[in-house]
Amino acid sequence: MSVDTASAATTRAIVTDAAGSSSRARRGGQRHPATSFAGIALRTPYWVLTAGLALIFLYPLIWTAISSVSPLAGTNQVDGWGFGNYATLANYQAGI
Amino acid sequence: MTATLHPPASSPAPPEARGARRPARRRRGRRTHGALAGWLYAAPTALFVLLLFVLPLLLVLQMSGSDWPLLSGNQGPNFPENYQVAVSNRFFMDSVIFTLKYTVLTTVILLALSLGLAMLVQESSRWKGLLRTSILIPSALGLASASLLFYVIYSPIAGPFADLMASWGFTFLGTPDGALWSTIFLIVWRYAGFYMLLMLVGLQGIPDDVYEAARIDGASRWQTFRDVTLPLLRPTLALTTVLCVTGSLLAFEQFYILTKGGPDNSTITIVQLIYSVAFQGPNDLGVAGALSVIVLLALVVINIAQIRAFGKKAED
Repeated sequence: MSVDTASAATTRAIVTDAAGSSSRARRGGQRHPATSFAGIALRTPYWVLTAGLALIFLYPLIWTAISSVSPLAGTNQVDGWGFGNYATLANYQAGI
Repeated sequence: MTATLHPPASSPAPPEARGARRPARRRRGRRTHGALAGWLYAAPTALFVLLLFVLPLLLVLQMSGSDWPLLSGNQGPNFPENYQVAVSNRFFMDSVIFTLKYTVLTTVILLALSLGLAMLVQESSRWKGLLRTSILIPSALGLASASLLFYVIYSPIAGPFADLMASWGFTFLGTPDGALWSTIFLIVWRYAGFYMLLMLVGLQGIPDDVYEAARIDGASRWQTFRDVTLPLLRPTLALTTVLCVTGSLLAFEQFYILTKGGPDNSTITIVQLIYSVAFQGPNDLGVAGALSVIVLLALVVINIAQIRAFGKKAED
C-alpha cells in the first residue's frame, strides 16, 4: 500500500511538474532570463524570423498605402505628397 | 322488404375506442405538422441550391451536349462532338499539366507554411498577436485586388523592385518559371493567414493531456509533432487539403490578371482555357461546357479520393 501511495505521489509530482512547465510555456515564460546574454542569443533568430515574416506580409500593403500619397509621374499626385489620387477616386466617373 | 346494412366503419365506436383513437390522431397530426415545418425550414436552402447549383449544372450539361455558339444560341444536340473537340484542343493537355503542377506546388507550400505559422503563433503574447494579425491581414483582400496589387509590385516600370530588375536583368513575370513562382508567392501571401487560422483551430482542439503524456513518456519535440500533433490534426489537414486542392484546380483570377496565360502560353490553367474557349477565341459555349464537365468530374474524383484516403488513415 505504501508503495502504491509513493508511486501515485511520484506520478502526481511528474504530472504537476509537466503541467507547470506547460503553463509556463503557454504564458510565454522562459527558462533563460530574457535579459541574460544566453537568453538574448537564443531568442535572436526567433525575433529575426518572425520580424521578417511580418515584414513580408505587411510590405505590399504598406507600399500601396505609401504609393497612394507619394508623388509619382503619370498619377494624380505629381507634385509633393498629398491626396490627389483619393480626390480623383472620389470623383471617378462623376460626369457619367 | 329490404334489409339495410350499415357498414361497421360508420357505426359509432365505443367510448374507450374513441379515447384510444384521439391520441393516435393527435400524434399523426403532430407528425404531419412537424414534417411540414421541416419542409418549410428546408425550402429556402433547397430553393437556393436548386436555382444556383442544380439548374446551372443542368444547363452546363445541356450545353456540353449541344452545338451552342456564344452569339447564336442553342443549335441542337451534337453529343459527343464537343467532348472530342475539347480534348483535342491544342492547349488542353498543357493546361491540365500546368494546373496539376500549380496545384501540387501551391498545396504543399501553403499547407506546410500555414501549419508552421500556426505552431509559431499558437501561444499568446503581444508580439505573437501582432505577427498573427500581420499574417491575417492579406486574407481581408479580394483575390482580384491582391492580384492587381502584385501586378504593380512585379511591374518592371512602376514596381518597387523596378530598379533591381533593371540592374539584374530579369522580370518576375518574364519567364514561365518566374511567372509560376511569382503567382504562387501571391497565393501564399493571400491565403497563408486563412489556412493558418484553420490550423490554429485544429491545434487548439488537441487536448493538453496528450502532450503531457508524451512529455512524461520522454518524447522529443519531433516525436511529439509526428506521433501526436499530426495524427490528431488529421481532420483539419483533410479539410485544408480539400479546400486548397479544389481552389488551386479552379485557379483563374490570379493568372488572368498577372500573366494572361503567358509568357508563351505557359501559364494557362484549365479554367482559363474554358474562359478563352467560351468568350475570347472560338466563342463556343458547347466546347466550354464540355471542358467544364470534364473539370467537374475530375474534381469529384479527386475529392472523393482525398476524403477516402484521410478516412482510411484515420481508421488505421
